Amino acid sequence: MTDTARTEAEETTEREGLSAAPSSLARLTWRRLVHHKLAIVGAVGLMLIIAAFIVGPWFSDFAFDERNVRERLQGPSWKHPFGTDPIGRDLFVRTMMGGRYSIRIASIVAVVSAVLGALLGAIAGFFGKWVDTLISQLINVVLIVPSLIILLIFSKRYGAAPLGIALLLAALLWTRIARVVRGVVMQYKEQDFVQAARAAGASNTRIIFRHIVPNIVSAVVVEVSLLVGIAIVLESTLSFLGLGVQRPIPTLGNLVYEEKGNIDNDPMRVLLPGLFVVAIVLCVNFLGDGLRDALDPKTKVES
Amino acid sequence: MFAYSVRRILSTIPLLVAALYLVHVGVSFTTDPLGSLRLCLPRCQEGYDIVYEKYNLDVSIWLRPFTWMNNALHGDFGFSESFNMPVSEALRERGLNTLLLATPAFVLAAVLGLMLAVYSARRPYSIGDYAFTGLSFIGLALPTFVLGLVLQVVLGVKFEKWFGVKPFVTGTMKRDSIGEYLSSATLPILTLCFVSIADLSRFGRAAMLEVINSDYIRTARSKGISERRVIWRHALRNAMIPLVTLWALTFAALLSGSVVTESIFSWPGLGQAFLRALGKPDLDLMMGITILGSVLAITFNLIADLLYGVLDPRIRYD
Repeated sequence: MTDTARTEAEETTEREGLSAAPSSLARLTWRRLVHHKLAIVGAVGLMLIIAAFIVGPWFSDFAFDERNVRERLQGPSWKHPFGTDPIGRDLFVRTMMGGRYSIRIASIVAVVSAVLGALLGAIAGFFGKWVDTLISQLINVVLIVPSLIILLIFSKRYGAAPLGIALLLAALLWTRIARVVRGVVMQYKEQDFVQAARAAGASNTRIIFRHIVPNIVSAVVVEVSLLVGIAIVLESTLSFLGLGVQRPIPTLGNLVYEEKGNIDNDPMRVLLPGLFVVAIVLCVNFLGDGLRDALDPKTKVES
Repeated sequence: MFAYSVRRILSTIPLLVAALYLVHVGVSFTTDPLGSLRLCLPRCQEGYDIVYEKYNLDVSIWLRPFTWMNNALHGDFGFSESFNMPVSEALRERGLNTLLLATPAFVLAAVLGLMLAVYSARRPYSIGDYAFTGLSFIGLALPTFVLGLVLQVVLGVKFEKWFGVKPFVTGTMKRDSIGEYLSSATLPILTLCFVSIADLSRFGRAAMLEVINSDYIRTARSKGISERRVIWRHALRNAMIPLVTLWALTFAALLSGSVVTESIFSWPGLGQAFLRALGKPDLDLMMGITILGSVLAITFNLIADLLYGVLDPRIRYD
């Protein structure tokens, strides 16, 4: 942050010893983010992919579960850009719809586990004592057992519907966020500015929302952006093993699972949905990396 | 150090018990060992009763784990339906197969990851560093199943004579001779190795960079010690401290079996056994694999923490 970049309002608030207006954190972050090349690549890439998933099916004459056995197992053509599957469904539409479902699942996971994790983590960190012990031990239990084992067991019963698998993933992944938030809260709760606020007579609510939450937000944002990638990978892995979302609903992992028998003669039809997963996760990770740098107050804006 | 280890182990036992309890309840809740037997009921009453008896189905779901734990404490991990042998034996057999994949994959990943980390940290922001960073970004984004399938397409199908991989054919693992072992194990080992390398090299690079810029390295250099000795003796020793934890976690994860890799390359290890047990459903084997995985994770975590003290004598355990 250079001095010239400061606005007058920010300087006034600083002189008076007040915390800067909440919007300035967002504005500063935004300014650092747009200077982060990788983050821009990630954000643009992600938007393009999502736009393709949304717009793609409009340009096709087929529905994702519409079968036409006479045109089964075709290669790419103008009519079917990605070819057709063994029962004659158009793979282009199925891939786009699969992408939509995968993204939708990952978004639900991100929102639910962010809320749950931030809440429980903050409670554990702020109140300490037995509440903290209880929640931290809950987090540790999840760390002990390999996560794929837990997911496989429960997805057998609950993983068939997109919402079910999303909630399942969220039930496992909130612990990552809770751990981070707990650490941040514990660190900030003892800091001088919180003590000062308390001495000035601020209530618990005011301390939490004015002084601690802004610090949590940056930690959560970074962690959630990485979590989206993890959620997409886990969901597609479960679907690939045949235990995720059940047919006829397509997801990116599901499509690989359905086509994997044809890997000998036509590898692209198997790999294409998988490469979409790679592209999405790559973009999300770039964005997450950029956000981490942008939200770190020590990073300087290069201009 | 001994007292510390004992305390650590004792404090994780309640966690382990809680985890096993949850998994047991979860499995009983989501799977139904009576599934197909229920359909043919009056005719197969006998089999129905046997299964009913074996899984204590008259006891409430919440109490069943205690029976299993009591047996496990006495060394009886139950009988695996899907392999038709005691669970402990199935674990030993399958565990050995997984070990044959996990050990070479881990050694390869650790050595290569370390070399990449040192290379990148010595020439930060060079072309090579950017290339490896880009590769590790891709490696982190690659789900195991995509990587496995890519390797299968690129190497397995094209060089069928060497690797002889026919995708998704069961029971192809041969280990009668070293050549046969190599031909069927190379691709899964490479898959597991690539997946771990991305993480290890990036983490190692960060750790190494932090150390290389510290004062004592400049002192060492100014004393005229050869660069090789500075890097491999002085810098590496401190950079290893954070890396060791990641090594332990990676190795523990590899040892408990990779479901995806083993199922793609039809390698009869623990991961594949778990999938089979899940399909059956074979509760005892699932519990066996879970307890093995959990104990491995706990043990390797402890080993990593103890190695901390070896690498950094300032750390004391009390």
